[in-house]
Amino acid sequence: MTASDFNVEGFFEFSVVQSTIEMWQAGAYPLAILIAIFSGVWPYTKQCLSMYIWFSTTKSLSCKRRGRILVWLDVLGKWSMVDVFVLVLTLASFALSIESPRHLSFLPEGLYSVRMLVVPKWGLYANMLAQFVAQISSHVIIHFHRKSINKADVDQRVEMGLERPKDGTQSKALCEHCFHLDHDTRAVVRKGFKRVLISSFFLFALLVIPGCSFPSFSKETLGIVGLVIESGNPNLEEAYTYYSVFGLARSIAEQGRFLGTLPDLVGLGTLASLLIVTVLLVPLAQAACLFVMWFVPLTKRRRATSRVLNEILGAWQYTEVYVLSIFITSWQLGGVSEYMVSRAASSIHLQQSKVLQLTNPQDQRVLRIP
Amino acid sequence: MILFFSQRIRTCSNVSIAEILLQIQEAPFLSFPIRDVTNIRCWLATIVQPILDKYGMREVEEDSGIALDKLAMNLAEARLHIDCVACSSPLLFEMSEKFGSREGVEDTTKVANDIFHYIARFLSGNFVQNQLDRLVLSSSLMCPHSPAYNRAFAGLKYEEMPAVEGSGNLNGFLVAIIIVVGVLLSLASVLVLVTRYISRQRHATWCRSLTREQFAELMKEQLDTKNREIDLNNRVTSLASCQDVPMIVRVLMPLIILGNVGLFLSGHLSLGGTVNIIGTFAGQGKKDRTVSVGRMTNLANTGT
Repeated sequence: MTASDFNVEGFFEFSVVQSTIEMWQAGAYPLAILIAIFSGVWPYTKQCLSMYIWFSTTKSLSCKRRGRILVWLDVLGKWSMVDVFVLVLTLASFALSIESPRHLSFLPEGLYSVRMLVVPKWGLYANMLAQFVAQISSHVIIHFHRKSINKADVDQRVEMGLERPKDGTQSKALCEHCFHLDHDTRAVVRKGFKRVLISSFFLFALLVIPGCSFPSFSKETLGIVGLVIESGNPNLEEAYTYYSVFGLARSIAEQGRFLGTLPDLVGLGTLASLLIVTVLLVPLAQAACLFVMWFVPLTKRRRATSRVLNEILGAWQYTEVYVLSIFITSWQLGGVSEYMVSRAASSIHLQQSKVLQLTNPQDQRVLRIP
Repeated sequence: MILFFSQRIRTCSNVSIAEILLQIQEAPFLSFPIRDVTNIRCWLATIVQPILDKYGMREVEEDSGIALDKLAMNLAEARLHIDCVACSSPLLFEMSEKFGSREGVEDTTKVANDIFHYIARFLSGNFVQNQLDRLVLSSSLMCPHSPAYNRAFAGLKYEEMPAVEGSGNLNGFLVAIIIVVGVLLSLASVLVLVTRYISRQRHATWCRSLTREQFAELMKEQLDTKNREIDLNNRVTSLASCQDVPMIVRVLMPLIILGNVGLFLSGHLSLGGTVNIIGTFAGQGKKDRTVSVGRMTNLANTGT
């Protein structure tokens, strides 16, 4: 009898194009279309539009329209991050661990263990890197667009002898601003509204922090693999795992440490940090920025700076992308896990599910992660 | 690493109960020819033949023909002895000791009974019943004195079972998402449209309240703004040729965008991730991987 470690590398391989084609072939048309739009069409459309804007003159594209399109591209740029997040969630969901049962006294602790894990490859990192570059270049283009407009505006005012906008050294809180409704009428925000805004900010923070701490999704492993995992659990508990944002980040970071190589440590560490930063810290920072802009007395220049900062933070907050990715992952993971096993073990005819009666109809397969 | 060990299993008071129901046809049984007495297929052919559907499954769930029922197996005690002949793993020595202990025997008995219970359930299930049904059905075709005997019989042929539908309805889920997103977008659009309509109405009311001079002044202001916008458009050039953009940015930006397209392409076409399976048995490789394995133990459960 031979006893040694074993390591099966490349049991199943993921790539965005291959997965989308397989989804289409498997009949999951809506899902394939969704992935193709967010991951395939949108990033290239954005890059092509950015290139067009960079070279287009103001005769074909007015300054105003150029600015609007750039801002929209910046706001919607985050959606091409869907495939990266889906892979990150898949990475955590496929982390399965089969341990020898601890409750059986005749088996020594750690007699056997089998672990399945998804190791990210260049495709994932290239996508993530491209996303970073796309967003940063988008901010740079917007910056230079505004700079050129401001310069032209100053020149125009000088030539036309128009009054230059006030320098704005005087600090003023936006919440105390008087709006000129008419030649005679002024309007200020009601005091009650301030309380509502303060409460909203705190409520937002209170919702975001527990939202990242409590589980956002759970994973149940079914099939024979699920039964084997359950056999190793105390009291034969079901093979459930719950994931919160923090838990997910910890799981990814742990995997990086387990794999041990420098590229995995850096890559998975970046992924874990990206998750925490974009889903937790940036939304909180954006809320704080808006709070400051509204309540704290700011000069005109500082307010403009805060506005740009808020715009950048808005582009980097990925909460909604994370939520959509959870939907997509939970939707496709069951099929992917079944497909993965059926492709790997196609020679083993274990699909006679109507005939093969195991303990539970859900366990009439090798592996399913719903 | 090669391990040699011998194992012995000693069981006490093994109890097995099985109820086998055989429904035998009277006429074939009574007219059974002596020459086929040793042919098991002919004996099976005397059993009432079940009716199978196109998939080879029983159409009626009643116990007819041959049926295995009330199968139970139980062990009062199971004692497993493992003697290590040439084991290098400390865990296998530990295991052989643990099997001999009182708790070890109790747990072995419990696990053995659980396995027997599982096997009994499996044997009483559809799978074995289906195999028995097919055996009975094919026997009548293989028994020489049977009226249905077929010399060229090459096995029963049935249609493949249709794939079992998944529990989740993907299209339903997509429709639900589309409905939710659609409702949210519609609400947002309605809100925007209503706000715009109200603003325009108020603006129109306000314009009506202005004197002729004030209105003319407003029109002039609007015209000036429009003219300034046109003038601004004439002053501003494309970003690629704008003097306010540093030369290095003007040159690099298109290259960065093109490079980024390449990066996206590479990301989409290259391998995004691979599923690896890592396993250890009997503490092999424990010395160099203790820390990693220890960390990995809870890796799958670090979600919360």
